Parts: sequence; C-alpha cells; structure tokens
Amino acid sequence: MSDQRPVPAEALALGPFEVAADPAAIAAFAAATGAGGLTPSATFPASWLSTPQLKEALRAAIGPDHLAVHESQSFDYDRPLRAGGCYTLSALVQREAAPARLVIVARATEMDGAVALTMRSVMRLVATAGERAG
Amino acid sequence: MTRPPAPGDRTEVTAVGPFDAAAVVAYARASGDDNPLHVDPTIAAAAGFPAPPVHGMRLMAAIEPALAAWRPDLRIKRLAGAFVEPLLVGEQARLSGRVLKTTGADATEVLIRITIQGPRRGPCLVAEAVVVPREAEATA
Repeated sequence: MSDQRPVPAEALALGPFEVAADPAAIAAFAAATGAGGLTPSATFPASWLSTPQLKEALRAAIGPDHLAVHESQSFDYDRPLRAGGCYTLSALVQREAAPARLVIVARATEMDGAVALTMRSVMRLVATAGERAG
Repeated sequence: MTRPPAPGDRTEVTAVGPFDAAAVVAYARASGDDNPLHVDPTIAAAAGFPAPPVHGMRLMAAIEPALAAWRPDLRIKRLAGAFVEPLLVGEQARLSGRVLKTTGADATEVLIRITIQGPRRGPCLVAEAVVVPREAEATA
C-alpha cells in the first residue's frame, strides 16, 4: 500500500542514502516513546529524516528565516522493517508556496530493490519574524 | 482465535502525556528532530506559543502502544495523520480510536480512526491506521 500520490517533476531528489534499523537506535526510540523495542515501531523511520545529508538538504530547503511545523505525516509499509536491517533511502523534496510548505516523500527499499516503506511528510514553513504557528 | 475487530469497536481511551521539557528533549535526541521550536521556549514564544509544543511525531508515536494494548495481535500496516492543534509542554491529551471498516477476504485489514484530543477545542492529531494480524506479516 505505497503512497501513490504524484510528486511534482521539479522536486529535488536526494539520496540514495544507506539507513539502518539499528537495534540501539530502536531501543532509544522505544525508551523515548514507549513504542517498539525489539522491532522498529511504525514511526521509527521518521528518525531517518535526520540522516545528516538529508537533514542538511532539508535545512537548506527550509531556509534560515523559517521554522518547519509538521503538518501531516504518513507511513505506508509494503513489508515490516527488520531490526538490524539495512535499507536504501531516497527522497523527493518539493517546496510549495501560498502557504509555504515542504513536502517530502521518502522511500526505503531493501537491498534487493523491493520497497519496504514510503513516508510522506508535510511541513508548513513559518516565518520567524513573529508569524503565529499552528 | 480472537475475533477480528468490527466496525464500531472502540479502543481503550488512554492518556498521552503530560510531557515535561526533559521528555521532549529525549524524543528530540532519539528521533534526531532537534527543531528548536520544540526545545527552546524563547523560539516557541517568538512563534506565538506560551510553551514549546510537543513534537507531533511524539504524539503519533503514542498510537502504536495504545493499539498494541488494545489488540496485541495486530500490527500497523499504514499510519497517516494530520497535526491540527499543538499539545504544549505540561499539557495532557487523551487518545481514542474507533474501527471504521474492515476489508480483505477475511476482514483482516482494519481501518481505525484515532484522535488525540488535548485541552483545546480542536484535536492535536487525527489519524487513520490500517492494521493487520501479526501472523499475516510472517506469510506476506
């Protein structure tokens, strides 16, 4: 049940990056949320958006004069993630205007190329000059 | 074998939070989401919040344990949600869910609407989860 919504052709393509369902990271996430533990929780892959190269690119897309406010998020699993599993993460990032938003569609694939997960994140961009965030 | 959930079934209502600043920092560290809006009261105030808002994803992360407590035989196949109102540090919300429909040959895919309601009029999070039997993942 992958997210089949189209991503605009002018979206910025990022990756592929190698990510892992590292047991220590899964445990740390579980300690902070109460979700998961031995296996990755459903929302654990959100942490992959903080992969350094991806995070840097997202910061650049947001810009220094805006804050990102998470507006919506989805996780579509074609198959469960495995603790200790390694995946390839690729993302398409689109900045929208009126209202300003960043839409990120990231796909994690198994090493054999099979899609395991599609994540879609929508961030509203709020100017730091005092505009009220919701 | 436990009967599959049916439309109209409801999850237990569970508390979400309250979260103190340390809990928000712990989530920021575990998730890598160090957006200063959530951890810096000065920046939160500049954005119009009387206290830092808890990460929306921290609220979404509360769904899986709540569903597991209700039906440990099910796992999440799809989870999607919209963050509507903030939940601020120090505030508490409650999570509730209701089965909307079942699909599949044996009604094994279950669509659940989940709401996390905080102290404001609007919900903090409105989400939908599709859950399937855990044994199905072994044969999927």
